[in-house]
Amino acid sequence: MTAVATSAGRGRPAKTPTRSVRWRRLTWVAWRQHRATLMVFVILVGLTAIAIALTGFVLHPAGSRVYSAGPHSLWPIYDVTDTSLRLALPLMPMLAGLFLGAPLIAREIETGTARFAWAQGAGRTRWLIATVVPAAALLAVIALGLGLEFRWWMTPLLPSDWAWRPDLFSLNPLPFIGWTLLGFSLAVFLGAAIRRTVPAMAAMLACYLPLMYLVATTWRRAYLPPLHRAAAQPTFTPGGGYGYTTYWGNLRGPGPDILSTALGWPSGRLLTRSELRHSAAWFRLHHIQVWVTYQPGGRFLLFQYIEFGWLVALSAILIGMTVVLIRRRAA
Amino acid sequence: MNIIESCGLGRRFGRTWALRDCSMAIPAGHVVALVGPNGAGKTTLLNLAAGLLQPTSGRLTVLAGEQPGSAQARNRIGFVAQDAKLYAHLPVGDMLRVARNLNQTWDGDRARARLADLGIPLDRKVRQLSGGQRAQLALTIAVAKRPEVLILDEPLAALDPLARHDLMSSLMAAVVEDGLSLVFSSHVVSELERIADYLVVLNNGRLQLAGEVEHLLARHKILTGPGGEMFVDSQRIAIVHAQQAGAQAHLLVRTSAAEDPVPHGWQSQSASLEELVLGYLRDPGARMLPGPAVATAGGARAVTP
Repeated sequence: MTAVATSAGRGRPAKTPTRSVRWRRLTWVAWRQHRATLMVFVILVGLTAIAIALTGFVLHPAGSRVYSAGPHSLWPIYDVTDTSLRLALPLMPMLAGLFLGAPLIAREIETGTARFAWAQGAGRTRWLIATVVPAAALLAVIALGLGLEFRWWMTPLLPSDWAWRPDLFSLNPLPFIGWTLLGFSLAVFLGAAIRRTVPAMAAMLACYLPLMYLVATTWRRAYLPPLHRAAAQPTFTPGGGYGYTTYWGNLRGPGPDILSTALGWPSGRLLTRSELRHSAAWFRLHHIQVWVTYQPGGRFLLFQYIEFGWLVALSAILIGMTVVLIRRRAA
Repeated sequence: MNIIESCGLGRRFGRTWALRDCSMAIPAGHVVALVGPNGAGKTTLLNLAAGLLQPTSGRLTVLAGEQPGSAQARNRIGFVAQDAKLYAHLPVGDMLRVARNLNQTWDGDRARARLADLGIPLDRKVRQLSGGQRAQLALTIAVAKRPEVLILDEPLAALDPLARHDLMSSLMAAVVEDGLSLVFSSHVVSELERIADYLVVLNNGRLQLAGEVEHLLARHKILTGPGGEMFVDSQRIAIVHAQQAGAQAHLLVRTSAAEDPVPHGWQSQSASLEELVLGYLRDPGARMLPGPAVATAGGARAVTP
């Protein structure tokens, strides 16, 4: 039996109220922990950015001539870059979630290091915030850069309404920041809730992809009530806006469609090639009014703000829920 | 000051109670051994004290009224969890830096000196260290924040005898140098006597025994005598555990006074800490707890093979 400890701990002055560990120090811990993953991520983004810049400088002087065929056609370059960017850029928020967000807390819990980290003086709340917030800020900056660069790349090459299109709207700088933050914070939250990295990754995709699809196909159109307008051509989009539904009716205003399919007469007869070529005249002749439901071009920035706003708010809620979860749950 | 104080403390995982109805007060200035078989609730109790778990029922305070896991408690308690998990991909030096940046108080020089003494290079990755070195690193980190209380969950479990001995020496040195209270859990009872001066025995999620080792040893005896059908007077002697070995019976008994009379034909000898612990663990119904919640043990029992 030891006598050594009998005087231990007694007579020690009560400690003064403890100061909190500085944020800068906690952020260093997060950086040291995740810098390898961040590096890989930054390298991937950097390569993408370089590819966008190089092809942009090649394609931009040609303008709309990139679409023309010929021996020195730039079409293959445009086609490959355009296709890859449309695939790669929407992946970025998912990659940020899968490889940065999901393991952030789940791996600590899985490996047991959470018991080390959370028992230290800093405490789990500050540790979590110091880990999540700088990562989110870095991702936002990266997303802003990529979004701006993509806009620069796309603008001379596509008609002015390109940025409205459902598959491209989320690549505009502000919505792109929003989606990146959402992908990341959703994965962080699911990692904290499920406490295992791989299931959290799967759950993140299972939530993120349907949400992205729903927003692109239906929700985004409903941010503000759409306008309706008679048009000469079904492809008409007033003021560079986004027209998304066309009615062929005989009423003044959008109403029951009298055409069953795009250009099939109720009898099922499709329009002939010459009728199609002069479709406006043909519609007039048969007293068919073309109505387009659309979001006007003037709302473009507002729509970006709306999407950015709710995505950031949702991300903040998810991070808040993560904090609550981590404070409450066992290590 | 009580470093750990609990009242009706319970923690349930799903339908299973890992810890139940646990009331105790462990005073400061001891080396406390928390003993019990696997699944007794030792880790649960220590995780509750470290603030990594919330109790399902009852309450627990540390350091004289602090909430476990509060800023005060975190700064003043050094905790090393079971298996001493650290960031495996970091070099030892960076692991120290991580720990420094996570704590308000930090004695980096001493931590580095300790690691140098132990021959643990700072540039080696944590995952490349041996089990003993990793345990030493975890202990170094826990001590470097200059805690008042050090809580270690199974610090010796995964270590070979040499590493175990080395870690124990380090622990004792830390206790002497810093004057800190030490609480550690173990399911190895053989080595406790040399180190612990306060004993807490958990079994099946319930508290069985708590008190200073000296006091506990003074209150227990081993009686050896003829076996077979024999009743011991339950009025005077509380049997904790009875064991038949050949023609002889060994009884671990609790004595009320210093010198209880020994029954005729029986021999009395003092119990070792190991005999004491094993005696209680073999009989989960037996309890001896300080305070008003002392449960009665033993009673009249036949000593039969």
